[in-house]
Amino acid sequence: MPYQARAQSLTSLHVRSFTEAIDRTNLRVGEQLHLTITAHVDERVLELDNVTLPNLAGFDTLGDERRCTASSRGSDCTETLTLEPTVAGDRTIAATIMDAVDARNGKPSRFSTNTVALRIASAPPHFPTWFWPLLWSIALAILPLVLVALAAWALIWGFGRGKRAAARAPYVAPTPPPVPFVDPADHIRGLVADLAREPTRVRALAVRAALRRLVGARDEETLADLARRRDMTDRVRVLTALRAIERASFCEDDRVAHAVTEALPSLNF
Amino acid sequence: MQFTPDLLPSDIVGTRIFDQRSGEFATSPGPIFANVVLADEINRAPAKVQSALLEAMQERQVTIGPQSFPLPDPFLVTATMNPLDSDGTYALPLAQMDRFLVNILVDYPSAEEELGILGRFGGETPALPHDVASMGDLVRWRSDARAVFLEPKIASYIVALVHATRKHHDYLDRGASPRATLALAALARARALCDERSYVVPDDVRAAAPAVMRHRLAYNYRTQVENVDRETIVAELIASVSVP
Repeated sequence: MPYQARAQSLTSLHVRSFTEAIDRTNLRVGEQLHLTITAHVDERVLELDNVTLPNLAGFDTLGDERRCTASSRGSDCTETLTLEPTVAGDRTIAATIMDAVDARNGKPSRFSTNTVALRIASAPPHFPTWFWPLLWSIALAILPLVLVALAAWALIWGFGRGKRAAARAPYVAPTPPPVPFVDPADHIRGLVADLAREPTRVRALAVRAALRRLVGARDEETLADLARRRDMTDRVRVLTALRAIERASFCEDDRVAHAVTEALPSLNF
Repeated sequence: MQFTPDLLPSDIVGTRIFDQRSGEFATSPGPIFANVVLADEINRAPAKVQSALLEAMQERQVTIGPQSFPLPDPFLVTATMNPLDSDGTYALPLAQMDRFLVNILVDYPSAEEELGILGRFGGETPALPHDVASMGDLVRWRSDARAVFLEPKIASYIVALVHATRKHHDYLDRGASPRATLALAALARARALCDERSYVVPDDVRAAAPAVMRHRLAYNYRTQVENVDRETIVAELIASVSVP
């Protein structure tokens, strides 16, 4: 389908989708893959014009099949290329381009598909016809030796393991130290006491963080989000405290101490 | 100014006219030389007319011929677009959209609001509103807003919000520009001032973020093809950033 488009000759299309895909992402040189370019447009068309295929250098093109199926819902057009890679390495097949007048705004537009990436390994080495029978006869010759060596190693390993198992004491996991339960309210009272002693922004932010944890605030929730929550209607005190501490957390540096003093009465849990 | 397809840049910024009496060119300033400019249906004018606003909105000046003329201070450009009818319109480029501080969506009025409209416009021509503020008031409020305190954690939150739009996203080609960061900080400060506060809180930023972001993001073709709501994209991006 590759043509150079001129704006005057472009078809007006509602392009709903325009994609490309491959059926194999890992293959070897000499193996085949299919590159399928699909487009769905609202219009009933027999074929799509002004489609520019990507540069397929490094691939032999073995086949190219195009098909457009029109229905009352528009047209589904597919182009399937059968390709055979000739060079190994990681490759990216560039986007396919289609020039058309975008029927949504009446302007000449360039539509492009996604790109696809694939990994191409080298072709398997080619051996002469006598190679495999020779390898098979060598393997048969050394097989008894390998079996004897394996049996000897298994005997030695089993004997040593038995001795080690007898010597080693059973493993006992250490008991973790008991974690004391801290009542959240007690924790906040402690933080508020620290804040009263040292009215700084850092202390204010610590109290604010503890209060937010107390009401189960999610990371992205602001104070207004919390106030809108239904479960906060019976927690007016916590909301009032949060409002007061927010001021101390974000006001000007020289007003933090004053804001903390004003906030402390509402932080009395 | 009603923006129409036949509008020319000189219809907005002004032009140079040859004065036969003096034998010299005189500059005739256009309607953009005003404190408040309303570009009605801005996307009905072609790109070159829209671009005439670029210099005015960013540099606060207009160049006519060899001369640059400063615009009056304060200078505010507001514009309207009808999102439901795109026939015969010219989409605004991202660089132009970026120069607008906010993009406010105006939905249908509620029943009560519509009753109010009926009351005002149903009968005689409504009286013009009285002056509520002088130009001096506006300048002073702007200065007051700039003095509102922005705590570093809030500043970092603003930057994080804008950066969240620049990460890889299935429905975005590009995120918001640094102008979004500046606009978000300015608008959060203004909201704090309106709330009679001298400092910004996270809610100020969150409240301003959708209006600042929505027109600065480059949505890709998948948004249209999959009919994804742009407001949902913006809301999810904002929600992905932790509040300080």
